[in-house]
Amino acid sequence: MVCLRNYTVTVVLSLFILYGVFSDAFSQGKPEPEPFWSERLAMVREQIAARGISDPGVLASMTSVRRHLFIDPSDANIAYSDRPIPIGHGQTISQPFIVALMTELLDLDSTDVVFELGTGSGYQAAVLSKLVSKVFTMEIIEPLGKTAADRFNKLGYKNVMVEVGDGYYGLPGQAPFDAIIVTAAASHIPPPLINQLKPGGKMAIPVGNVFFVQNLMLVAKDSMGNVTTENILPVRFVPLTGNQ
Amino acid sequence: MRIFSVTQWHHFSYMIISVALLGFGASGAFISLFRERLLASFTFYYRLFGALLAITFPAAIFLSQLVPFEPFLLVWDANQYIYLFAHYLLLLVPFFSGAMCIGLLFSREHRRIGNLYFVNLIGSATGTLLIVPLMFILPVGQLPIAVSALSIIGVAATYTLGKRKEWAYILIPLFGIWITYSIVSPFELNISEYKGLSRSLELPGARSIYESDSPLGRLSVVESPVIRIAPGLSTAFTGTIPPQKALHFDAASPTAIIEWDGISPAPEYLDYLPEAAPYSVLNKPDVLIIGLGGGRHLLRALKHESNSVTVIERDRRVVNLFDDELARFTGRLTSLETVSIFVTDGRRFIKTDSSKYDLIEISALGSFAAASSGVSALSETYLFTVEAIVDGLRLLKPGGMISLTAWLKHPPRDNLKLLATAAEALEEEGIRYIGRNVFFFRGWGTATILVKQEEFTETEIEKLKEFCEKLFFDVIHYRGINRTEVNRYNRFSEPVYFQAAAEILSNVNRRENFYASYPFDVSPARDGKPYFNHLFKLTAIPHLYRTLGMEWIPFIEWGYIILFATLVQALIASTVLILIPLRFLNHSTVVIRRVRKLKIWIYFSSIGLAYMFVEIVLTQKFTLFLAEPVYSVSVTLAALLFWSGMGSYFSGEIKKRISKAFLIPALAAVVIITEIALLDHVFNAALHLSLGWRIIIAIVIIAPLGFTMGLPFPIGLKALGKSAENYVPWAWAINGCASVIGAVLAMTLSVSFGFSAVLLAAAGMYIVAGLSGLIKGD
Repeated sequence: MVCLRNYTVTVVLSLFILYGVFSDAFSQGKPEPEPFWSERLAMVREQIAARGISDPGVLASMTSVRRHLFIDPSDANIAYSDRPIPIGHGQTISQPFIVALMTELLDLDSTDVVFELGTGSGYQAAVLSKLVSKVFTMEIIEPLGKTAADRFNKLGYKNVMVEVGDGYYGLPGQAPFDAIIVTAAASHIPPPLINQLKPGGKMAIPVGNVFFVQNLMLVAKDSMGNVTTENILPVRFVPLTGNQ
Repeated sequence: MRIFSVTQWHHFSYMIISVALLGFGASGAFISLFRERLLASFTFYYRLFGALLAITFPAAIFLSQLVPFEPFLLVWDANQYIYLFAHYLLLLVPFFSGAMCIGLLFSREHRRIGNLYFVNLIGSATGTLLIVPLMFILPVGQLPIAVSALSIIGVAATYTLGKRKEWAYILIPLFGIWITYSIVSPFELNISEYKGLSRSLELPGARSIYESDSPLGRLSVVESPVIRIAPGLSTAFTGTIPPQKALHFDAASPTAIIEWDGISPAPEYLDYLPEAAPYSVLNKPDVLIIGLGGGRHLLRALKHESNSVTVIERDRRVVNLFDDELARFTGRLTSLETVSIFVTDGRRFIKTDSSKYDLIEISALGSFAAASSGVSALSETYLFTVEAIVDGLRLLKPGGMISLTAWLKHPPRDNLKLLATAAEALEEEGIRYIGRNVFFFRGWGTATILVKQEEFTETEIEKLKEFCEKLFFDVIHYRGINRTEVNRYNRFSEPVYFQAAAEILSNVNRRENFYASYPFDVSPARDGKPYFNHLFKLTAIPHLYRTLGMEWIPFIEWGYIILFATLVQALIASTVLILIPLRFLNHSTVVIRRVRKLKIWIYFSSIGLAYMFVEIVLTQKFTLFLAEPVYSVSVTLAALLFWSGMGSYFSGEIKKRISKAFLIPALAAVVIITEIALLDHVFNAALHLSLGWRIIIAIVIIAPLGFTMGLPFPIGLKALGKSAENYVPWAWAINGCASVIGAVLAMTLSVSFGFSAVLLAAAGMYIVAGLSGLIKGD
């Protein structure tokens, strides 16, 4: 059983690595530059796949997006570490596993249109862009939004549209969305975003502080428009029993 | 402490300051090593260190603002340890300099130690009282400059007594210039970019429209068109949230001040928050709200045409904001006829008020960032104890209810502790089937507990269920709940809240078993151990680490971890500071035997630890009794220091009358044990008296404690000075280090075992100090 599982993981990992390399190369019209390639593979293998993320698309996307290009160059050596990284203005780029988990939870399709509230460095949007047709992302802090927009232009992410402004009201002109991701901490789920979520769509929201995500909230809208939320712990927490 | 509470999280500031205070221990070690040389040029060195204190105190604060220390990054970033160390070094210098002045004086004048220690303690008591008005007058960043001016006076005073009096004429005007500069100089604190205030100021169009410092903390208001705060808002709400301003306390996450014109109906979204539940049952109630905050609870009470609304707010500045600066923005809601506002402590109000209410709202919705990281674990609060809920239940009219709301944390903690607190309060009121008096529900982000003296009626349950259904909130518990009703709208993989509530509300045995087996401390807080936010369980660490590995970091209760780190670093530093001088003292003129050194160490460390144990517990206990948010701590401390000063002054006389030296510390032990027995009774009997009377009673209660605790240090130091005066600075070092360790240890023990245990330990230490005198081998 264990051998079969290991074999399956190996095959899936090999496939998504190939997929990731070629999809990125095609999307940017040039071969993958190699800096941090082994670190990136190790990140996907040890931090993401090992923690239970199994969606080949998500794994491929996490392999192909060059995380070190989304942070300050002086921090490049920690780009693939299992940690959040400060990006200025009181914001961080999330731990790689959290990015992968949020992406997987959205259960995306290649034709989907996604809205992201809180662009930050742009890394989450870049990961999403590999899996869907369009990503609209809004950043309220102007310098962050502009830097992210320049970064997407430079790196050739054609299907990511950045807007600088208050994303609380979403983008009514582009709505409804198949999925929404809210990376900016909020005291509540913005009602306009619930309205702009397609029936059957999902919204992922990390809960915690800027450094530690304690749980993820997955908001689902059924075909009738009813909304439910699901609390997902990023770790498998086993409560003590009376004997321990 | 105040400065670092604003710029960082206050328990990290505690960690930094405790190292700085080790400057006292370091000064003792330094004097031990260079005693001859320092005392030979006493006046020069006294002035030098006095001047160093004046210069380095504000300089250290200024430079520390340039060090980019971010406590939460300590987990991943090794550079943060360097920054933390830089903080330590910077702050150690002024404390070391100040302690050098005192240590030099004690070493030279050990024969007059009783008088000197008296003056030292009276000065400390005066400082404790004077800093309070000063904190109202000056912004917190300017305080170090003002305080350093006092050391200029100290230096100038030495010139007025010496030959070169002209220096006094130079230094005293310098003092004036320094004070003026401290008042007019613009010194901005460098607040962490991750704190709520910094993040609010990053928003488009954001500007700070109000800022005020006081002993209670920094209060700031930020306006921006994009501020929208609605904790736990139902996903059923489809409307818009009106303009808000962000109210920040100590630069932490904000609460919302809501715009209202005073005429139109209050905003609709208020009825989509979980806290609105009681209004689905109560009709035009008399409401008591503990904590005005941003006015959300008050506005909702008015929206529901409450018959009367009484609001208790501990910070006068918040009330002034609503009355003055933001009166128009908030529709003058605090001035309405049905609204009564009292600026006082919420707990004392609940305990002493004689009115009856239909609804008492107590919100535990502080900063989510603080709640989720557990940085408030060590803050005492007398509002969320079993006794507080009992007091609240007694204020309810028939059919009335208490509403308690807190953030959901994962795995569940705070809300379960709150439920356990309510459950045990109901039991103390003699209610047998406590589950019938509780309605418990949650949204996606918060949970609310409603508690009554009577059982919830069928009609009430139906209305509350309807409220939950309409707003997509999940019921967790009510009389007769069915498992199929839970975990529907905001789902967990298991109905964890339902299961936990069933255990807590069942019977004592099951509840106790649940407390024991749960990985967090969800047993209720009590007045003797009022740490509602303390949820960390030391015994659960192996389990958490085994099941989660390094993944447990997000679940860390930081307050407790920091406390331990502080204790460890204080122990290491103290060991070094105490052992190093010994090596050199062994080569000095008077060498004493190893047993004698051990006696000195036991005596001075015991009395240092015991003094801090009592000091920390008294300041926390008297917070409830004096119940005056601004002055409680300073009155308690000043009284203790004053009476200790008096003890020191009369120590010579007392020593003459008590021939057996070991009895002197034992006196303090007897007084402490007596006060443990009496204190709570006195508090209960006198809490209703006016503040003036309560202050007088506090001073009287503290007098015997302070007096007897002021005896052992000067008597011990004088005796040591007679036989081995070169060991006096070493004793000073031991006492200084023990004070720092004592303060941290007192907190650790209070959180785990309660105040009485810590006081008992203090009494034990005084007995140990006394017994050390009986060890043979001088």
